[in-house]
Amino acid sequence: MSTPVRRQYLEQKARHPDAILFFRLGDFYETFDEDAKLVAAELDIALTAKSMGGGLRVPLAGVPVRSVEQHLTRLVGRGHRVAICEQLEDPRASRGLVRRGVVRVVSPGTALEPALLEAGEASACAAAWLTRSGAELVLGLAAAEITSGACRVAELRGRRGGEAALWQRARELLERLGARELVLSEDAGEPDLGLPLPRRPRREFRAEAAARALAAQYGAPAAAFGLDARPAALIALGALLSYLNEALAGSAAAGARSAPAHLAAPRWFELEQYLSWDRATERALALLDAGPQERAGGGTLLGVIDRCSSAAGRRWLRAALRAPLVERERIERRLERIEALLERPGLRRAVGERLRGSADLERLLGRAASGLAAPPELAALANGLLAAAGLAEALRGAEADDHASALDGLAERLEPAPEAARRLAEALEPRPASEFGGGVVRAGVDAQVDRGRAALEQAQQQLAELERSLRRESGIEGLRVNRQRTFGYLIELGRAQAARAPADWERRQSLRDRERFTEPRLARLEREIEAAEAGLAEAERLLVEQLRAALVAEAAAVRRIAGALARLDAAAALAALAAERNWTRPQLEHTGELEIEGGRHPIVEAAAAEGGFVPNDLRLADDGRRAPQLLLVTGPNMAGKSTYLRQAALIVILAQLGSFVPAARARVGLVDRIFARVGAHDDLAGGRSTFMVEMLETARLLHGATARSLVLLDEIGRGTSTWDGLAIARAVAESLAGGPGAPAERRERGPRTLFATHFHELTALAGSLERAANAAVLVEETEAGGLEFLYRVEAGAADRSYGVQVAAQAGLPAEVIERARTLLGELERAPRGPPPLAAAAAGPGGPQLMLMPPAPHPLLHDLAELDVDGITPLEAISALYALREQARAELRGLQPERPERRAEAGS
Amino acid sequence: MSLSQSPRAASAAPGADGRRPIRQLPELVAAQIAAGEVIERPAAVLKELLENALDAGARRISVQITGAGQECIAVHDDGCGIARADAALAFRRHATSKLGAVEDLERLESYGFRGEALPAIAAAAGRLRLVTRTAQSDAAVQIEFEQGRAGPVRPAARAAGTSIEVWELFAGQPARRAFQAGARAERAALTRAAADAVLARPGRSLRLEIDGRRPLEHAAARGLSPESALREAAGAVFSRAAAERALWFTARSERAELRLDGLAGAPEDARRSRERIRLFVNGRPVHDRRLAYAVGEAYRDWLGAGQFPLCVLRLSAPPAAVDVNIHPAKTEVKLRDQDAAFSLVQRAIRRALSEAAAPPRLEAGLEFADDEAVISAAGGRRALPQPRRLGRSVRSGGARSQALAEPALASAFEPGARAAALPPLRVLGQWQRTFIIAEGPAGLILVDQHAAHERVVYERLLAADGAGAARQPLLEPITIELDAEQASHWERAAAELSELGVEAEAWGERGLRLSALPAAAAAAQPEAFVRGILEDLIGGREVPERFDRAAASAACHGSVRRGQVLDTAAMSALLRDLERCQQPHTCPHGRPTLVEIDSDDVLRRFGRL
Repeated sequence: MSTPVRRQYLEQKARHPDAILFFRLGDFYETFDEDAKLVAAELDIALTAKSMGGGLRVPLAGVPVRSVEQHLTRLVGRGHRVAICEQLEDPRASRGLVRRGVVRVVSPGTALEPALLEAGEASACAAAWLTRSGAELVLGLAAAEITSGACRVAELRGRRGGEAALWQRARELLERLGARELVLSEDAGEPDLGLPLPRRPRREFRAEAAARALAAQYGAPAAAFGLDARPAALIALGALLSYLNEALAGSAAAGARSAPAHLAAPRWFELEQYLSWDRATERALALLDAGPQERAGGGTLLGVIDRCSSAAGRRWLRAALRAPLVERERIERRLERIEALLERPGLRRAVGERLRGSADLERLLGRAASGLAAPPELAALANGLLAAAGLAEALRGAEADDHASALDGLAERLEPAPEAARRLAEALEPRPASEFGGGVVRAGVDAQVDRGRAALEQAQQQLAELERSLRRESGIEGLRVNRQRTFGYLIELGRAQAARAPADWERRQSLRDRERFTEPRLARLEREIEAAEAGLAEAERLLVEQLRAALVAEAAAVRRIAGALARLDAAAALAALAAERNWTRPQLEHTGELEIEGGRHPIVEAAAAEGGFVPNDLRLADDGRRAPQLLLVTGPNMAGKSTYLRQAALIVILAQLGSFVPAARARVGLVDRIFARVGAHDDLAGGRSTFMVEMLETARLLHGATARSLVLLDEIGRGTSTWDGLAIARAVAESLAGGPGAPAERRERGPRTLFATHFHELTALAGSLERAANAAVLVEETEAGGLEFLYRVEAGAADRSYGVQVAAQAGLPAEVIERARTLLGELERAPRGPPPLAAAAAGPGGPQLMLMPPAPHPLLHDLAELDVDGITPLEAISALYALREQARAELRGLQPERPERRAEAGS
Repeated sequence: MSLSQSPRAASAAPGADGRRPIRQLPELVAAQIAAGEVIERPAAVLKELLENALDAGARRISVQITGAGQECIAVHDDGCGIARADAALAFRRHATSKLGAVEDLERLESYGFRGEALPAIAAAAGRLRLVTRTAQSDAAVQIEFEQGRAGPVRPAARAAGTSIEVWELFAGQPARRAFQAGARAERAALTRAAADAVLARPGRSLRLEIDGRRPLEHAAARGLSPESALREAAGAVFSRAAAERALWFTARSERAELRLDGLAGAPEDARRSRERIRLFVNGRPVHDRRLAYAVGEAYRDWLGAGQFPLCVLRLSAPPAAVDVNIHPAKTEVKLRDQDAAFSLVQRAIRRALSEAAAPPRLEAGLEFADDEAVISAAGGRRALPQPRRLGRSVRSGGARSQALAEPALASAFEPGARAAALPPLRVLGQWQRTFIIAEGPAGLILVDQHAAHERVVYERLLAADGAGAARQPLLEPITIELDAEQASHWERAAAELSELGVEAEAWGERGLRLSALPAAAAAAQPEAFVRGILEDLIGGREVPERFDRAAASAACHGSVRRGQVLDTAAMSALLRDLERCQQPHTCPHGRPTLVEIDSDDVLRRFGRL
């Protein structure tokens, strides 16, 4: 039927049906059948066929063992999982079929190879479990960084029917945790998370299984981690552990347990402890890099602030930027560190220099724990840990002053290095060889190793003696004993002398100019040397393995030091940035105010010449008393409205992640969420128009914004007809600033809001809404009729849009501009469009001709109640049409029939 | 505007009789002539613009230069700015905000006061653009000049402060343009101008960009002592390590109303040019030969002839005691009490050096023996002997011999003399931790231990040439920070040094990561070794071939130093090695490795012959 190898393959493949099986055959990893077709296509390599006995030929594609990492990178990078099936015994030593088994499953979340990991980004593997109890949904999440061993759990709650919204929040959370894949039960749905979703059998998602997995991993019951009353998180964690178990099965060195031994105890992660935002906001503010092509540009906030010297520092900063804090004390601690380093430029530089190019301790820990680390990596890990003490000393040596204690805290965490690190460093050669066999362990450290080395030396000495005596006996002067890669030790003679070789020498190899022989004494000695070498290698391996395990057992200390180094690096980098860019320390407080003097946009400023960026002030307050709660910003296109909006959010984010900020002075009442609707994004792939996307995001912010939030709205309503847009914009502004239609919780206070708009009619709101005020971006018309942008924001409304001037600057043909000027003149002379709005705009102080009754308007109710996350795009479009009809009718002064569809769409 | 007359108007046609009528010079021509005194090269423009920025109270200055200054010099600051109404006036000659009456000249606190710089620059530039805004105004204003003619004042966007862009300097003056030095020299002069501003005002941040490189970047830190602030500035200008090693000194003279502070570089950071002696009088960079000489004199016991220290010296005097208005460029000043200044400088630096000589920090840099007993044996009138002078006097035939060199010692082998085998030598002892005293068949031999070892190492290095020199990997690679000049020499010499066995890669902007040394130089301190070679290459030692030069230098820095105690075995080994050399009589730089004192000569002196 089929060969034994084929049967062995099928058996292994059956255990890993959803992974590509790399089946080791000699110097190649081979794949067969469907795997082969997939691999051939993905890696662009030849697909061949292999005979498997009985006339069976199966598709085959293979990659050489030595270049496997490069191929793994490609496959895993595309979201595949690859099971590595190794030969478990030496083929030379075994009879018959070599034993084979899967030693690892490499996936995006379980990779430990440097080539598969982004140095500056966290990489975690996550699992999720969704439970329903009554009307409540609970989504349990667990994520582990297999590299550093950090482990987090979380629970998100929602109402039945709100699955989509729940998964949306889960996505935000998973991004903050750096998840690269999410393990789901085989019967779970298909949430849209932008992650690979490996499936596991339903039985692994049970509380009992989870309790067992926890006990095996940590030797403690679920209650020890506060997980006994949180079944969803517990189950997610259990499933994650079992997944990791399998992924790393057997990769650990012999005898060690297979699970990631260095995994830390799970810690709770609550979104509420962090300043959060959604994906649209992240994109609108250009916070993180979007893809490799943008990475070099520095056109993101991360790109601007990331001056870290080490990969661990970069990861820390990235994580900090993804999840700024809301707890003042923690933020102040970070600011203290920066302040202390700001005053000590020499120390700051020393930190940077020490950490530049230093070993990545977190990642090395991951490799050490799973037994993948070669001796040079272990040496780097141990030496890196010991070197941290030097930095601690430098920190303590800093002159005492107000901020010095911030550095003491870090210094304390840098010491002491684990005892096992000291022992490892002392045992290993300064530059150990990658392979065991004499070049790894120092002399005098281990008796066994020393004995092995002595035996080897003795055998080699005997070899030299043998060579001499062979030369003497045969009388051939040019005789040499050499070691050949494949043939071992052989006597080598030149062609001319070959004839003089004694009869009892056995010819093994003939070359063009030389002949090689063996001889019984030599063969015996060769076996002795090989045995000595193997003994030495084994002695070294045993010792290093023992020291490695001891170090992994102190993983918590390694994490402590690595974490402190990362924080120190990031603090030094942020301090250098603050010094260079003249950033200042923000004042944080538990109020609803935001006050910025001389604020700058960090990204735009970085690209501008010194002094080329015009700073601006901003004051907002949630209750509208000391400052407006909602600021309507008007001014022409290109004049800097969006920049002004964005810089407010960026300054808040920087302040709360614990950085200095680009402002002469900043006072930040802590913000819980940021909503930024700035710049248009089509979501054509998702089948949604610009307007639809805009409305979805607006709906989300109207639902989610609290009095502690910061809202940026840029030209909302421009994606539809003018009067629709104006009506929606006004309704949204009113809802945010406690006007008609505002929900009860916004009667007294509302989110601090910057509202940029083209609709000059809206500036009248400053008169009708107590908590709103106007601001305008200044421009100056030059004598030539051109426009000079001044980028200054001042109180008061802009007088007009200067659209024609902007168009002229953009290079529209002169005739078109001329014609536009004429038309504009006519329009401005003509009585203005629909009278009601003109009237509303004309009467800021006086009695308002309110279109909408002062009581909350049904339109707003409808809009506010729209469950945007829970409805399909089609339903949303329908709902919007309904809203628009209604708004149009309102504007015409008519009360329309309420469409029937609204009820079902809005529920 | 004021400068709107055409330069062509000045070149009036000669009259019919060939004579030209006498005329009042048009404003622009006058400005160009005046400019000739101040604006003779791009660096002078930068100096004036930086001084304006500092006078305007700028905390942060950023400079961008392209085409080595001939294409564009742009200076941006965050100073007080110029009010809209004054913006055009700034370009009138003798218009200044810094001086109101003649008496003000007596109490000058600002850099500028003549009111000549801006008009002169506008006259010399093909195009000039000024954008400025005061903190009180909403908008900035800008003015552009084309060939000295001002355009209209227009609104612009800018933070408070001033930007000036000077384009196409000397575009209208082909003669002056032709006289400009090469781009490399201009860039060096521009960097120097910016460095002077940083050293003069360490509390202000300055960033300099020239043709895509950043030769200077100084971020002022808050709350630093004057010492730390100056160290920071010196670190940015020279090298961090040299700035850390330098000695801080202060001094004052009540009588002459002078105050002095600064940094005196460690002897090991000395160079063969005066380039790194920087003098400031009341914050103004000056060239003063007398003060520079005073610095050199203070180092006399620590440095040999032709070596000059790193030194930043800041002298403050009441404005009335200093006359800066000697030359338009203001690089020369006249002090009321020159002698007091001279002696103050010399005493302050010498005291700093003497006090520091004891602690180990400086020891590495001192290449003389400080053993009193040994020194007194020399019988010299100076307490600290200077081996370098011995070497010099021997080479010059004893003509300038001072304390130690006797004419009789001058029977040295001529540099490059034909190689003659050395006779077998027997070691008698070490003298001054510098010379090996040995006995030869014809008399007494003094061997310069450094020079001899240098020769030995040099020949080993050359022998290894081609085969790829044996290299000794360092246990841990070490990182060395270079200054801009050293870095550029490194780039050019990297290949030769690598052949010699110096294994290093560029590390960061101006760093080197050193991973191996030539095996022959394994005894050396790796960092000092590499720095020494670079310094030699910069100083241009007199060995012809580039590779030989690098080897000679490597040999020098990899060798036994003066002041190193050697035991008899080590000395014997060194002499054996020297005997095997092809050219045992001279070091690679041509100085003698040994001098011979003829027995007959000694006998004659004792009257026995």
